[in-house]
Parts: sequence; C-alpha cells; structure tokens
Amino acid sequence: MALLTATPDIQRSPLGATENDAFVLAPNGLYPLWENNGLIITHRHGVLTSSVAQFGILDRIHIGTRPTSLAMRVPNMHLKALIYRWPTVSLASELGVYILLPGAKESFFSPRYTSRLGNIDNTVTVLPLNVAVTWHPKPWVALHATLTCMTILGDAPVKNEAVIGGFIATEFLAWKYHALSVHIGEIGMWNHDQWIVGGSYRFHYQWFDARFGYFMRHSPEGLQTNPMFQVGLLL
Amino acid sequence: MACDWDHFALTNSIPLHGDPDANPVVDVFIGVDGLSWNTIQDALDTNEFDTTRYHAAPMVSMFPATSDASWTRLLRASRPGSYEYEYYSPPEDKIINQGYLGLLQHALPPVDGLPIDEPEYYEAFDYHANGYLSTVSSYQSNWMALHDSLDNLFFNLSGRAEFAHTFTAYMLELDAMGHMANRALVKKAFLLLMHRIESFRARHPERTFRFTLISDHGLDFISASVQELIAFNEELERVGVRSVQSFAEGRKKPGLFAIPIVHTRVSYLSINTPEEFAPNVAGLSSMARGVDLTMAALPNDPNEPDMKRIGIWRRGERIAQFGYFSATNTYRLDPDDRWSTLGLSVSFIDTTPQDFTDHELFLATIHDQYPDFFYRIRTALGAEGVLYPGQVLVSFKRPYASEGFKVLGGANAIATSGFHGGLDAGGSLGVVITEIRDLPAMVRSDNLLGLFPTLAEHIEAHAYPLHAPMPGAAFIE
Repeated sequence: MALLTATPDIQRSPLGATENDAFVLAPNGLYPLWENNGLIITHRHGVLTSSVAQFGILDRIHIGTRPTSLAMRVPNMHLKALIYRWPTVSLASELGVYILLPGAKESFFSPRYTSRLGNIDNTVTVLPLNVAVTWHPKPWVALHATLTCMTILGDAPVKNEAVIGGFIATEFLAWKYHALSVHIGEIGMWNHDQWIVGGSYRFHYQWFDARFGYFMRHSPEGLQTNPMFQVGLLL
Repeated sequence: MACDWDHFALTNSIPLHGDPDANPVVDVFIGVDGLSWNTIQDALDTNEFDTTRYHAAPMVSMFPATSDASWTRLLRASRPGSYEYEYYSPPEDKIINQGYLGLLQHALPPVDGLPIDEPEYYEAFDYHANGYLSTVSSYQSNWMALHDSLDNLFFNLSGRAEFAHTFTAYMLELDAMGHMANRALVKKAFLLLMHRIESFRARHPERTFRFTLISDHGLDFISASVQELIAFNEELERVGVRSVQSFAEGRKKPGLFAIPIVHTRVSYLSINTPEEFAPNVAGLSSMARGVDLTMAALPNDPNEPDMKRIGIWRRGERIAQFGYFSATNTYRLDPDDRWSTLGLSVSFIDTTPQDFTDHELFLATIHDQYPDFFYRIRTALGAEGVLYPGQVLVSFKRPYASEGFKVLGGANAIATSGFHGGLDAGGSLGVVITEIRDLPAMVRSDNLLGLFPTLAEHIEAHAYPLHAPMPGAAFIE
C-alpha cells in the first residue's frame, strides 16, 4: 500500500490489497490542478501513472510531477505535506509549480483538441496552493475536499491574479477491486469562471491502478466535455 | 490519446486574463463550411438576422466547389493533391486514397506519429474541432454536434480574446446539415450561430468584437433520389470510354480510356485521361446520364501559341470554347458560340472574336446560372490550384450527382439532401458576412485574403506562409 490513509487498518500495508482486502484509496485527484485529497504517500513508496509520478518521504511529505504535462511544454512539480491526521480524517496541503512555456496551448498530440489559453509568445507560471481533506468514515466510502488558491503570473498583458476554486470528490469502494467516484468543482467562486462535474471508475489490483472518467466544464460560454484516463503503478 | 485529455483538462481550467487596453478590438473570423448564399436569403426573410450590423455578399468559390480544395485555395495553403482526398497521382500512376479507406480519411483524427494527417488549411483556424470523433458526430448527430461546436468555439474565443487581436474558427456542422438534413434546419442553425455571436458580444463589453463569417462553397438544397446518383465509371463504359484504374491499365488496349474519381457525393466529377484523349473523352462524357456540361483543354492554336484554349461540351456537342492569355489576363470569346444557351450574359460589339478582361467577365456573369464561369473553369483545369488537376471536368445537371460511395448494406439514401461541387450558382455561392468593411456585389474567393489583411497576417503569423495568389485572380473591387 502506497498511501497513508485515515483508516488505521489499511495504513502502511505492503503493495496491493491488505490482508483484509480493504481497498486502497485513489492516490491523487483525477482532475488536474484543482482536485486533490488529504493523503500522503508512505516513506519510500511511489505512484507512477500516466498523470502523476509521486514519491513519499518520511510519511510526512511527497513530491511529484505530472509527466504528461512535462511532455506538453508544461514543466511542473508539486510538494505535498501532511498537516494533521485523525483516526478517519487526513489533512494535507500541496503547492504546485506549473510553467506554461510558449506554445503549451497547442502542444496536443492531435490538433482536434484546442486550449483557450493564449500564451503563444509568453510564459505563464501557475502556482496552485491547495488544502485538501480526506474523510474515510467507512471502508466503502471516502470524501475528498479541496480548496485551491491558484496564483497566475506572467508578463504583461497577462493579468497577475489569484483565483479560488473548490473541488469535492466522493469515492465509493464498490467491489473488491473497483471504485466509482463523483467529482464536482467550482473555479472562480464569486468571480465565476466555470464549474466542473464528472464521474469516474477505478480499477485497482495489487500494484496496478487505472481510472477512466468523463468530465463536463460548464462556463458562461458553454459546455466542454472531457474524457480522462489514468493508468499506472503503485510502488 | 489520454495525454491530450489530460492537457485539455489542465489548460482549459486555468482562467487566464489579459489587459483589454492591449487588444481593445478583436477580429473574429469564422469559417462556416457550406454556408450558402441561399441560407442568407432564407435568414433575411425571417427578420431574425440583424442586417444593420453586417455587410454581406455572395462569395463565388473555386470550381469544383469542394471543401478541402476550396478552403486550401481561399486561405492560400499549400496545393493539395487534387480536388478531394481521393485523386489520381500521375507520378505514381495510381489512385490515392481510393474507396472506403479514402473516405475514412475524412473522419480519422490526425495524431502526431501516425500516418494520418489533416489538410494544411486547418492550421489557419485557431479552433476547428473538439475531439477525436467530432467529424463523425457532425454527420451522425447534427444538432448535438452543432451545440457542441458552438460551445467550444465561444469557450476558446473567450480565452484567446484575452490576448489576441484576431481569432479564427471553423465549423463543419452546417455543411453536414445541408447534406444530411434540410434547408430549414440549416437556416435555423445559421440563426443560432448569429444569436450566439450576439450573446457573446453582450457578455464581453470589455472589448469590441468584429465578426466575419466566410464559407468555402454554397449548397443547392436540391435533393437527389438514389436513382439520380450516377456511378460514373459505369456511365463512361456506356458512352464508349473504358473506365480504368491507371494509365498503364488503359494502354493495354487500344481506344479511349479514363479514370473517373468517384469519391464523395458531389455535383461534379473529375476525370483523368491522357491529354490527347481529353477533348474526345469530354465530348463522350457529356452524353452520360445526368451531365450538364463537361470541359477540357483543347490543343493550342498554332496561330495563337500563347492562348490557352478550353472547350465546353453538352450532350455530345462542343457548344463553346474560349481562349486565355495569361500575359494580359484576358479571355477571347467567339460570338458564334452558344453563350446564350449557357445563360451567360456576355455581349459582343460585332461578329468577330472579342477579348474581355477577367474583371469584365467576372462582372458580366456574377448573377448568371454559372457565376464567374470563365475564371473558374480556367483555374480548375490548371495546376495552379491543385497539384494534379483532372483533364476533364464534369458538372452535373441537378438533381443528378456523382454517387461517390455505396453504403454497405444498401441504405444508400444518405447525404442526398443538398449538393455542391458543380458550376451552378446554388452550390457555388458561399458567403462573406462582415462587420469590418464594405463588400463588393460579389467576392471571388481567391481574393478574400486581399479584402481582409488581418486574416492574412494572422495565418502567416500562426499557421503557414501563404501560398502564391492565384494568377489572374486579383482585381480592384
């Protein structure tokens, strides 16, 4: 088990399912930047998936990066620290640094995807700082809530500002190796930009982990839909 | 694949803002595939289209009026192989992208590292699709795809307009509706687009948005029954021309042979044949079922070696011909030819052959059944627009059209509600609607970028170096 969770009987277990077959919670939020959880990866364990690569240190912090973003002109890393842990609740905070190099907006593998970002000539730095809590009251359900303050920095004419967002994900550990999650988020709050809603399925077996989700971003301009997929290993 | 989804989620959830003083005016160009002048007329009848804000004019497309070739020429991208994905390549002596695999090229998403590519002109558009299967859904679920496309277009515009002076977007859905649905729905879709433009403008008072809509061709909204879809390879055989797959195959036997390019459902057809066969093949092809006109280059006149000659055939007879002098950009027409049977408003001073400037003929024919007849035919048969033009071109008499493909299982009556490609005005007249400038009575699509320098600059800055203008296209509007 690569995660420190709030439930004592599934903490610090070896890779894969615990002896009592409790399910491992998802190691990270599926939606990038805004969704997180209160979990920390245990010392000298790691998570290596298509979306995140993270490594735990001393049971108190983990560091990581988003490898797909690295490949798409967004060098990035994040550091997450445990704030406090109660028997069924875990609280952590993460600071990320995402540098959107010029051209990141069009670095898709297929031109059939487009970004609304307009940084063709300039670099934009995005610093999401979030506090996330995971409440795991029963073995079959967990609630993850994240509050994010994203600082956006760039040369003029980029407006340097901070944007607040919130995200909640409920994870139902439905069957032995399967979980279903519902995700809801709001970006901008009183300065509304978009809200996000999605659903996802997760399969986890020993060291293997895969998630597939479908999200909708609703802004005043309309609705965008977005499949999400993540596959990888819990080490 | 999943990488794109991840990046799509990440970049589109960062609310990046710019300074409105840095770009107080944003020019927005929306390429609406297949938006027909017919649809604009329909919309005007409803009083729901605010004409006080816009200048509008029909824009006559290239001939054959097919999307990829037309957008390519209009936006001056690199020349495509020919008028459609499927074409005959003389160097290889074979048909490229033939059959269902060729058709599939329209739907498959291009992905880096895979041998699937999109035409270069797509790069001229900041936004042109919203997912791997967006082309398929445009044809399969017209309204869902339209709303999806509008949502994505304006979502992208809202972000890009924070910094850009110009934004370009492409929409396929109205063309798909014109082929698959009916005229009333296309009008409704167009009015929805105009409504969304006004809603967006109202939400963004911080900047001035100047919208321009352009299209690559018209749509005639004349439906064809399955019996009116012509399998031209069979028709060629019937009129005495062997239909073959390559010149090598054709030369195995004596007599005329030709390669008809039967690809999509359009109201024209391209035929490749040896140049020496072209006039005869054009004459015989004009006797095929459903054909209105055929055209092909004629051998040069030894007395006028600088004059390129083109013949026009109908029902087996050459009814007209014209000559073209590239040095002076003038055309020579003989009053003895039957121009009036073509419905062309060409008048002569006397009974001798007369030279006309390109602009004179453009103005004379803009309201005719075959607008910009001479320029369109001349450039269609030349290699300035496509790498490998056909030697004979066929324009169908509507409602007849090229069958294009057969649907497996026999349900062949799809994409038959409206057509384009042929010479007639319905399928040839696209539109320009703009808030930026006045427009002439009609725009020749090859001159569009000359009317909108900001669009030309945007393409050069963000997409590709502009291909050379079509020779002889430009004139003072």
